Amino acid sequence: MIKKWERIVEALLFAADRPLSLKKIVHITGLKTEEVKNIIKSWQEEYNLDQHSFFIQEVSGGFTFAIKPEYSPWIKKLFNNDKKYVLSKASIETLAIIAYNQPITRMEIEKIRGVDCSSVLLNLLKSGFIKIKGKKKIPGNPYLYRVTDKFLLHFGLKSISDLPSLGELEIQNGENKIT
Amino acid sequence: MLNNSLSIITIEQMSNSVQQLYLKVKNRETQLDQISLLKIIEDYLSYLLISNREYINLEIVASFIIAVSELILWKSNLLLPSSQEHINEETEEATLFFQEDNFTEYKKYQSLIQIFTEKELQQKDIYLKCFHSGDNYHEISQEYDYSDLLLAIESILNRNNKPLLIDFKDNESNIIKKMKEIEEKLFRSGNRLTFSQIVSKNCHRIEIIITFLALLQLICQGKVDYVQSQNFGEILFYRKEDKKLKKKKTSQQ
Repeated sequence: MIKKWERIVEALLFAADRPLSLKKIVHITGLKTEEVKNIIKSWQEEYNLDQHSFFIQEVSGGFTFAIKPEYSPWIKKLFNNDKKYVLSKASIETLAIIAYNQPITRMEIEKIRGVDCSSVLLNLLKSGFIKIKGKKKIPGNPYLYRVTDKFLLHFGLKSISDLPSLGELEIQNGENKIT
Repeated sequence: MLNNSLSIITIEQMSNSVQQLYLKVKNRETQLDQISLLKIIEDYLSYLLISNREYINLEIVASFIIAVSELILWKSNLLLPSSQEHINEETEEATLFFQEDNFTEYKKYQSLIQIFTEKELQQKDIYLKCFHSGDNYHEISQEYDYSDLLLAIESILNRNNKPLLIDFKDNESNIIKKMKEIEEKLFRSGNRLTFSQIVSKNCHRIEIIITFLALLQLICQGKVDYVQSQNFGEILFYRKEDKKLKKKKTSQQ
């Protein structure tokens, strides 16, 4: 009986076109959360063995199949090497500010960065890393931005809370010296 | 480096960075008038000329510029008359706080770039099934499809009571006409009307202005009075009875 549910969960993960959350699997199967967790854990152990080319990764609040890094050269050929975005320093900086302060306006981002961010924001919007989440109720009604699930997928994060808190980050002032 | 007799304290003598010089001045450990900013800037410019521009650390340069600009600000304040001292100290502290606060905030995110770049590198060679099954990864929840979208549009259209076709009205109205119109409206509706009731729906902006002016004129003439119970609340207009009519009524009674 357990084997049957293992196969069902595997089928669900295989069929899903986005990370499948525990909640969703529980809702579909009617199993208990702990049972589903155990099934996924057993599958993760199974797929981590060398005989498989893929594994189950926990990302963006769910579970999905991912191809092991050693097979990436062949996958790159399949997608003509252009499927993975490599973000610029400015884009990462802007994304970090949005991720930690979301929802946030363009002006607030620019206040932290000290430079104009309109083009970076436009590119991030186009590539789907951020989205507009309403307008702030202040004069001018500026747009509020927040990160999307694509951001979590790109950096392999389970959720925003997976990021280190700003308090943990030690500011190393005075280390950079001009010699 | 700096070996000019004019400069009493140089970076070399301080044996530390400009930031430390800045901190010493801030903590009043060093007298500001003993520092030659010109020499520090010359030293900085020579650093820029010597170093290969491709490998200049922008963070070092940024922190240097902030430290030196603060020193310049303090030093320039020394030139101002003493009566201004108190005010300057306040503004100085405010700008200092603003600049330092922003830079510290910015530095926090600078350190995050490293973390994000590492995570990006880790994830670079991992291909997710959902992410690379095409570029059609949408944010639409799994629970909804296009039929739900159509139903939502239909319900919005049903909710909107405004007629799709708006009656075209002649814009040629003036204040006198409008005043008569308002008086008639008030008479018909028991002498009491709110502003939104007076202004017809879908009317032009100019007509609203004319209505407002007409109402003001009626108030001026003492024919109409108004009440507004709260800020931004509905304005209630009511018709004042004529004195002659009032006299007649009282005499009849």
